[in-house]
Amino acid sequence: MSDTIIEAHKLVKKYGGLTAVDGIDFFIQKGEVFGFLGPNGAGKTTTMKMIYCFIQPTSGKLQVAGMDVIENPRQIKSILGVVPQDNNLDPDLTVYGNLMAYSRYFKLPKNLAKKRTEELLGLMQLSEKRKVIIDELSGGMRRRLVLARGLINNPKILILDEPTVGLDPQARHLIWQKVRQFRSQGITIILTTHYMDEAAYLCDRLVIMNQGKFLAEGKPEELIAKHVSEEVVELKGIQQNEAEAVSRRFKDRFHLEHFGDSLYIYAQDGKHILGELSDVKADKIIHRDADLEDVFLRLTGRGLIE
Amino acid sequence: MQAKTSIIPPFLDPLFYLVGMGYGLGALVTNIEGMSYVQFIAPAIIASVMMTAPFFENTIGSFIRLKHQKTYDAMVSTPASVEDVVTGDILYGAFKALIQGTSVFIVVALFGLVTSWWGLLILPFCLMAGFMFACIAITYTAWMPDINYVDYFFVILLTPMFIFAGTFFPVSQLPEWAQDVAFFMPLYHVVNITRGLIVGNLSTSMLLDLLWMVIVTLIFYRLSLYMMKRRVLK
Repeated sequence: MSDTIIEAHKLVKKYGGLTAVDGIDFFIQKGEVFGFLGPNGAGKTTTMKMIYCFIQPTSGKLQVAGMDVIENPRQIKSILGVVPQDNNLDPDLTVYGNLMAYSRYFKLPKNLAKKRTEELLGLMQLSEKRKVIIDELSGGMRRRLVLARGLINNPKILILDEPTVGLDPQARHLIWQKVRQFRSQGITIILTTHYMDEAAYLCDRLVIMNQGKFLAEGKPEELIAKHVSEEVVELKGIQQNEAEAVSRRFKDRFHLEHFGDSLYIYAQDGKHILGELSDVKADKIIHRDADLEDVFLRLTGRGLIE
Repeated sequence: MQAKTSIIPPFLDPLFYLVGMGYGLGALVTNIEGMSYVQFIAPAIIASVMMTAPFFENTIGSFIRLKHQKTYDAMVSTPASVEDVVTGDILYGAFKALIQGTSVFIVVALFGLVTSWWGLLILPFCLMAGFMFACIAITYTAWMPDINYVDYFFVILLTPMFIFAGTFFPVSQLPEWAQDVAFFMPLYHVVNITRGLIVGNLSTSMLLDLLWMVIVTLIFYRLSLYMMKRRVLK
């Protein structure tokens, strides 16, 4: 049995009349990758900020490594590495300078700071960029540098708020690789993301949040099995009346979702029903495994949530 | 780069005031309170940079760090608290006052206008005055909705103090009500102390000026921490 490193009980955060986090309970185990998923404004970042003691809970209890976030923020923050949504690097300093300056906030002795900085520059493939000013770095390099910065104090827990947003595929994969590497070193990782493939690839366990509450929690494959069927048949570019006709035919046997000009049929055995769809007029019929995105859209609705 | 931009302009600026106003205007205005005009304004010019250095640094500079570069956010995500970060930023402003105050002091000394060893106390005093002005500036920054609001700060606080706080003419020239207003200008007390130290003309009223500064510093220091905490931790 593994130890619990973060524990929340009836956690609430209110901003005036708005309840951003609405009485959630969760625990995170040492060494796991735990994900918070949800649309914008779901309360993911607010929850993360409470964990890294940036904001205080309105009510409820939140403990990190056995310490209360209200009573011991300084001690908690000393064992955390935080990678925020914005790349808030210091543009007045070089790549090297950013890491060295940051190490001072953790009171790292100078020798150790230099050693850590060298290691992390190497790890994040930034060694040649050491003397470069932040403005001249690409988006991927900046993100890697923020990640390196979050590791300067050898944290027990690494917090990643939207770690790969806006990055190209190569840069994303490099970050993913690193996250898996940190996990194998025993660092507990908490992340938020909009990308379902990212969540499925990285997270051991995750929660799907909406309007400050959890809609579901579990392992990615469990969530898929529980909330949607194993396979999906997707009819793209289907006419309204055609979609209605198909819905009528299948609604007793399968769960269906109609969104925009696409119709989704959730079936245990999708191949089997492909034959029944041969006469249906649609631009494209795709048969695939159900994924987290289906779970997410099913639970939070396919409509645009702002 | 930083060193060049933060030392050379503040070195030249007061030089122009000293030569232009001190000797130019001073040729027409002779003898204020028993001293030459240039002797009268020299300490005021040193005192002014103790104000302007942190006023610029802790409004525009701090606001950029706070809102645009998000340096405050980055630092508060480490064991540092908001109080630590704000105090650090205030000290940065205070040290700018010390550096720029020192460079003006050297210019003034080269003109032979520092006539007492007491004048050396002006250097540590730069740090103290700078700290006070930094607290005032950062309190305003904590409130400032966007960077354009910095104009109000300069027009309402900086410019009137620069002109009316006993800097280029004695406050006794002002109507009575305006003299009362001048008393509430922090720069007025900073000028009084600097003017006393530079010629070694000490008086008990300087202790009152000092006390006034300490009280204002404490008030604005607490206020700035409170307001910044509210602003940053959201």
